[in-house]
Amino acid sequence: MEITTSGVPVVLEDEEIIKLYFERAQSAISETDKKYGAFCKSISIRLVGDDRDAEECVNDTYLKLWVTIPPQRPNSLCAFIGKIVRNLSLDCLRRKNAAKRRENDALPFEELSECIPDNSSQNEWEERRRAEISDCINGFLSSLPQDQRVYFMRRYWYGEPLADIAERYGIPANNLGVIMHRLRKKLKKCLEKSGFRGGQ
Amino acid sequence: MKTDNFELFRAIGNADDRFIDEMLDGRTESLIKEKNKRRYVKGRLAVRSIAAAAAAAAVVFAAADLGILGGSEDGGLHAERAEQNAVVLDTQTETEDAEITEENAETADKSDEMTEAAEEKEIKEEFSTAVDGLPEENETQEKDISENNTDSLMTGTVTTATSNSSDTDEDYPDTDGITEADIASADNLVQAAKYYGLDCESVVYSGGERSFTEEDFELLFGGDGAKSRSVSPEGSALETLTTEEFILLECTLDREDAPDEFTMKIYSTGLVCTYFDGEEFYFMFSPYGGKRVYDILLGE
Repeated sequence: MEITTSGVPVVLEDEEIIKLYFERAQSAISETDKKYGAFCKSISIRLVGDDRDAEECVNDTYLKLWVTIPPQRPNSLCAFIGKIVRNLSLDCLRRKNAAKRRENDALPFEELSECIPDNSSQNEWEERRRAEISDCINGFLSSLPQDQRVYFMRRYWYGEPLADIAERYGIPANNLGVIMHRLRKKLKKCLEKSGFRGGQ
Repeated sequence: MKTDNFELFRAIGNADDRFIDEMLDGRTESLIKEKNKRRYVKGRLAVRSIAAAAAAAAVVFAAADLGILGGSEDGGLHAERAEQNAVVLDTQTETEDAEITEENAETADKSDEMTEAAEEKEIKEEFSTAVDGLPEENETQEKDISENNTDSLMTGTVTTATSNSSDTDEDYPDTDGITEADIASADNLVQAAKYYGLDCESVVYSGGERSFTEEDFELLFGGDGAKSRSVSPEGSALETLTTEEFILLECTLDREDAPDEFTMKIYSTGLVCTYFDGEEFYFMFSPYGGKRVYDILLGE
């Protein structure tokens, strides 16, 4: 590890890290870990709630980065990594919950997935639907004032507790609670307007 | 199309990169922090100014009933008070973001250190100062009238206004001939507020359109606070609240355009609400005191 005279490890710029991936240099992973390891871990642990699972998700994230860059060249490495670790952590959470359901209730609904005629087209459909929801959410986020957008993202993207967000931005926690309540209502309206409705 | 909360949560994860970067950006963080700091400084300053104006506005109703408003000699007293209040409110309006002086910041720092009780005391004093100067007899009658008027004023109307520093005396409407019946209408609440240097914009809601949910009450009184005061939409504890001279509350109104932050102060003579929409302060005044306020909020 490269160390500066002040004893602080040198952290590469995002562009340099991406360059390492393109050169297929092994150090790309360690440099990513050095810069974004804690960030990834904090996202993952909030979602999966278990240190070991979080660690696994972070490692899977690095693997996915290795596979996807190149050909992809992210504009924002931080956002790119964040999305991967978040999605992998959610997958992990879903697997864990499904396993728990199997243990507790022994519901056989997972088996039914075999009955679905064309699984790939269903995935495609789900992907498309997910993209549509994301479009709707992006529209919703664009419509918000900056501070509210940041509060929303901190809470629902990053999974930060309300009290921490309130402290970070110097806003009374009670006020923040009111803001989040309104934002959720606003998002609901936005989704309804776009034709989404609740339920499985 | 159907969706569930898990899918929604996942979709939020795929939000545009720029929103993620914005959230993680240190400069954005300091900017919002700074903005919030200013916002609460301004909030506190405004609440104090408005408390005085509201007290004065309450006086208008009493004065009008006694026939001392406008043409009579005592009108001079009110005009003088109006000027004073206009100055207070001008000061509030002129306190634009860029113009917040160090002195104000110091005031805010001091305010931060003040306990809630100390703040209450200060505003109470300001409140009583605003009412001082009226003949004692009028004060007694004012209370009586205030109580009597609540029934006739049960139109459930609350007015909203913004202070307007560009207003001159000439802009204020002629308040001669205002009657008790006139005051019972929203238009004259607007008029009365204008008389005291506030530029009212519109009526914000009418009684009956509003209904509070349990969630609102939790937001209104805070989770634990609600329990300790046993407040519920049906609860008799509301009456306990009315016995306090005023209570500082943060509340939410079930309106689409309702503000994110809302400060409500309840006086024995009326209700004052203020909010900041990001650009300027808004002011709501209702001449209802005590339980009547809650009746209106509950849409009864």
